[in-house]
Amino acid sequence: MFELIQAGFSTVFTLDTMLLVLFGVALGLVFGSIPGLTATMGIAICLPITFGMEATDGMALLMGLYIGGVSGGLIPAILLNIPGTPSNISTTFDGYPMAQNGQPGKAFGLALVFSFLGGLFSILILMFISPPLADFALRFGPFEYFAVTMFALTMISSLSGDSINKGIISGFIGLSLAMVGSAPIDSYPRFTFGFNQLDAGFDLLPVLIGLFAISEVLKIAERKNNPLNTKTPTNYKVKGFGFSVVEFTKQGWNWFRSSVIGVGIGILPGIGGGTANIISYVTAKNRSKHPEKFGTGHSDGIVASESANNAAIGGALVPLIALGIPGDTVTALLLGGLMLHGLNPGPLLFEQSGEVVYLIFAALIVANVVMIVLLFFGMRFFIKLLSIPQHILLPIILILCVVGAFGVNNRLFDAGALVFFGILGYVLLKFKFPIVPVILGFILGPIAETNLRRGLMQTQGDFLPFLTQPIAATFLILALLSVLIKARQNFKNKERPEQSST
Amino acid sequence: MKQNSDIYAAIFFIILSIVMYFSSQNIQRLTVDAIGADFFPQLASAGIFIFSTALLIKGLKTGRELKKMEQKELNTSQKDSTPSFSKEQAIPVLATMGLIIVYLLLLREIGFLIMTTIYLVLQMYVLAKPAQRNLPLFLVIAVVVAGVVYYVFRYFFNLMLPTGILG
Repeated sequence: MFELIQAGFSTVFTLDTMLLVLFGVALGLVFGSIPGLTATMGIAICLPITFGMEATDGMALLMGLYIGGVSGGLIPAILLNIPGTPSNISTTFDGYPMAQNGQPGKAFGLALVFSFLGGLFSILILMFISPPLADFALRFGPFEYFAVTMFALTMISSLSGDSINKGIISGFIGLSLAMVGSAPIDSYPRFTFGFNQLDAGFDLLPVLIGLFAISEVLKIAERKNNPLNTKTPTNYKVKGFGFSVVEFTKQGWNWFRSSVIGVGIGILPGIGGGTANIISYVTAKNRSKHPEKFGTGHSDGIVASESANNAAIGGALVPLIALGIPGDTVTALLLGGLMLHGLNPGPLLFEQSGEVVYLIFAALIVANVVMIVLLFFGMRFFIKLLSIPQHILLPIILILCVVGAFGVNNRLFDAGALVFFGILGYVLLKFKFPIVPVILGFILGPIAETNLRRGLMQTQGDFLPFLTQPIAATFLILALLSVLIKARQNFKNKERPEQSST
Repeated sequence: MKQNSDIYAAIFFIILSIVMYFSSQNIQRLTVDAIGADFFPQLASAGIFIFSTALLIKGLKTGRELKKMEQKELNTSQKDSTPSFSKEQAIPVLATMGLIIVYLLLLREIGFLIMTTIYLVLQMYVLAKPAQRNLPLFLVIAVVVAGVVYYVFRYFFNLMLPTGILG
C-alpha cells in the first residue's frame, strides 16, 4: 500500500499536477468565500474543463476545489457573520463575535489551523478504511447492494427538515425523475414521451447543477436587498496564528471529537459538512464546562465547527470510493466526474484504476497544505473578493453553469434540462419541500432498482434471500431501525409542540 | 399561509401520481421476472400518492383550525394565501427565468457570443438595484466574459459552443 501512496505522491509532485491542485484550491477558496457560491457550484463549473484532461489531472483539480470550497467559507463567516457555505454556519456563532471583540486574527488562526488538522485527520481515515471496505464490498452481490442502498435512502428522514412527509415526497420525485429513460436490465424506454433525447435519461450533472446552483440564483434574485452589499468587512491584522501553544493543546480533545463527528457524518450518505459543523458545535457546547461562553466568541466553538466541516470531506469520500455511493452533494458531482473519465466508482475502482485512487489521496493531502498556505498569506485578497456585487457575479455563474451542462454531451438538450431542474428546485423550495432527498432518490433509486431486479432474477423471483443473507439482512434491519428512531423522535416532538424548535 | 401552499402542492402531486400510474401501465414486460420495468414507476407513483394524501389531510386540518383564529385577526393584517411572495419579489424571479429560457432558445440560431452578451447585460440589469444600474459597465463586463468563456472553452477544452450567425 505504501508503494501505491508513494506512486500517488510522485504523480502529484509534477509541475502540471501541482499547478492544477493550486489552481483548484485557489478557485475553491474563491467559491467558498463568496456567499451564495458553493463548492458544489465550483466543481460543477470545472467538470467540463476536466473532460479533456487525463483522469489523474482532472481528479487533482477537483480535489483541490473540494478542499478549497469547504475551507473558504470561514472568511465571510468570521468577518461578515454570513456563512460562505452551509459548512460554516456554526463558525459564525463564535467566529464573528470573536472578531468583533477585537481578535479577528485569533479567530482566523484557529479556524485555519483546525480546518487543516480536521481535514488531515479525515484524509488519513479515508486512506486506511476505504481499501479494506472496498475489499469487503467486493463480495457484495445484488442482495447486499440493494440493502445498503435502502439503508442510505432512509437518510432522507433525517434530511427533511421540518416535515418528513414532504421529504419522502421529494425522495419519490427524485426516484420518478430517475425513471425517465431506459430501464435497467431490459432497457425499456420509460416516460420518454417519444423524445429520443430522453432515451438515456437525465444526466446527473444538469440535475445537480440545476437543483443546487440555478435554484440558488433564482432565490437570490428575489431578495434584492442583499445584506452583502451593505456590510463592509472589519479591518484586521494578523501576527502568526494569533493563539498560544497552551491554547492550542487545550483544544486537543475538542478537535478529536469534532473530527470524529465530521468523518462519521461525512460517511453517512447524503449529509456532509453542512450538517456536521452544527452537530459538532452543539456537542461541544453540551459537553463543555462553560456552555454559557458559546456564542460570545469562544475558541471551542470555532474549533468544533471548523474541524468538523473539513473532516466531513474525507468521510464523504469513503462511501464514494469504496462503494460508489456519494456521501454528499459534492461527492455526487465527483461521482459524475469519475464516470466521465470511464472510471467505475465502487469496489472495483481499487483493482481497475488503483493509481487514480492513490492519486486522489495524495492530492487531498497536498491540497490541504496548499489551502492553509494560501489562506494564511492571501487573506487580504480573499477579503477583497467579498466586495464584488452579486448582481454582476451571479449572471456570470449562470453562464458558466449553462456552458458546463452543455459540455456534458455537447448538446443543448442538457442545458435545457439544467434550467428545467433549476426552476423545479426553486418551486420546491418555495413550497418548502427539501431538495437533498430529490438527489438521494435520483441517485440511489436506480441503484436499488437494478440490484433488486438483478437479485430477483438470480433467485427466480424469491425475495427471501434478501432477508437471509447476513450482510443484506443487517443493513435492512439498520434501515428499519433508522426509520423507527426518527418516527419515535417525531412522535415525541408532537406531544410537546412548544419544545419542537429544531 | 403555509397550510394553503401545502394543500396546492399536495393536490398537484396527487394528480401527478395518478397520471404516472396510468402511463406506467403501458410499460411492457420484456422479461419473465417477478417484477418488470413497470414496478418501480408504480411504486414511486403509489408513494407520491400516499404521502401527498397525508399532506393534504394534514393541511386541511390545520387550515380549518387556523381559519378560525385568522378570522379574528383578519381585520388587523391581511395576508397572502400563497407562499409569502410579493410583487417586487416575483418580478425579478420571473424575469430571470424568462431571460434564461429565451437565451437557451436562441442560443443555437444566434450564437454563443452575441446571446451571452445580451443575456448578461439584461440579467445584471434585472438583478441590480436601481442605483447600481450602470449599463456601460455591464456591457464591458458582458463582452469580456462572453469572449473569454467562448475562447477558453473552444480552444482549450474543445467544446463546440454554437457559433450561430457569426460562424
